[in-house]
Amino acid sequence: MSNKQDLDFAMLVREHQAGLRAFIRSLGADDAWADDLAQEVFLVAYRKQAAFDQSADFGKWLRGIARRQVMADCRKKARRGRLMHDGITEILLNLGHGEDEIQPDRSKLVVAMKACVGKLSESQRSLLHTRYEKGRKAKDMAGERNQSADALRKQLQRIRLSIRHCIEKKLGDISL
Amino acid sequence: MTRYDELVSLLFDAEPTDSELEELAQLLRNDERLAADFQKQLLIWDVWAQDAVPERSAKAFEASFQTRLRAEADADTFSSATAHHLQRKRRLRVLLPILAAAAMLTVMLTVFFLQDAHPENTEYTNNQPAIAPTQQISIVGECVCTRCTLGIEGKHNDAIRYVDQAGQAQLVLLTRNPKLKNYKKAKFCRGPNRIYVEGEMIEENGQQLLAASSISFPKKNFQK
Repeated sequence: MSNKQDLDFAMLVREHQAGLRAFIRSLGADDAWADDLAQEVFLVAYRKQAAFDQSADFGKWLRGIARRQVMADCRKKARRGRLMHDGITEILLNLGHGEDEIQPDRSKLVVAMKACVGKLSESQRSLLHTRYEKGRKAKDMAGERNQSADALRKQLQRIRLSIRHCIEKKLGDISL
Repeated sequence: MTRYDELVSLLFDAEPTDSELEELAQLLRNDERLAADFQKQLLIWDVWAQDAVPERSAKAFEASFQTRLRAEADADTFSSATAHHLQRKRRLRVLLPILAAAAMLTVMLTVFFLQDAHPENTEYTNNQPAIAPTQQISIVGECVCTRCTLGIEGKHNDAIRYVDQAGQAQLVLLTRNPKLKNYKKAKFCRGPNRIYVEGEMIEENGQQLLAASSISFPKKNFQK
């Protein structure tokens, strides 16, 4: 990665990629496209880095670019496929502008999440593992476990809610 | 579980219908607290997925971004090289009828003289294949049109752009295939669009082309 100006872009990507990806997803990007959009945001930032005021917050600058990219996707019919639903994205785009904008402290969140997952029962942990690490959908998992897909989805959702409560206990209301 | 939880669960673990998504949008529109809650859920579980799903690891993302950056840096060289390559192909196309006529004449004269020298050899066998030996390949890349997307040629040619193992951007033209016609406008001309192609490399008139045997346009790469 070549350096333009004085910015160590490789370091900035390393530092900001996780937060940016989660931020883009929180604007309603389809899960399959969130990383792709994040890469586009970094490419735009790379091209425009001369315009970046180095005394400013790079993360905030990136989130501004991301917001504009997602807005552009919302406007262009051909690119709406990268969003889960344009109506939902419009609502999410209007939340938390400026100071209220979600700025995730990823490492803190991951530590809290791991501790909370550790408190789950063995079968709940296995369910979460199969859903994420193995990437299985509820419908497929239900077949293997002799359960209905609806029941399994509800189980997963209950696990999510309990983890959410556990995180909030640890970190306070998630300002992330 | 509330209806909101039910819809969120569908979004995370199943494939919600358009009307279910619209219903969720309506709920979020009417209640800003729900919208904020939904946003946090998306964020939390994306952070979890980044940690749990190998394809979404930080390392994978950084490697992929670097490749994309290199491809962009190479883009100018790549475009001019491709344009040059296609111009050469066009020049060849002009010369081709002349060369073909000359080749036919040579073959006819050779056959004539061989028959004359060995009258018993009436069967002419040609062991030289019409095309070079084939090579099966699969490519994950982007489908583009050389005119609409790349603007490097006056003629519409379907092509696949991809980044090779050395991180260099490559362009390979596809052979004419009536089955691709349906995708021409929507995918190639409005490209670049992600594509997965399987097929074989063939050589036609000194040009390496990809004869696609199957194509698909992957949308979902990662799990929710």
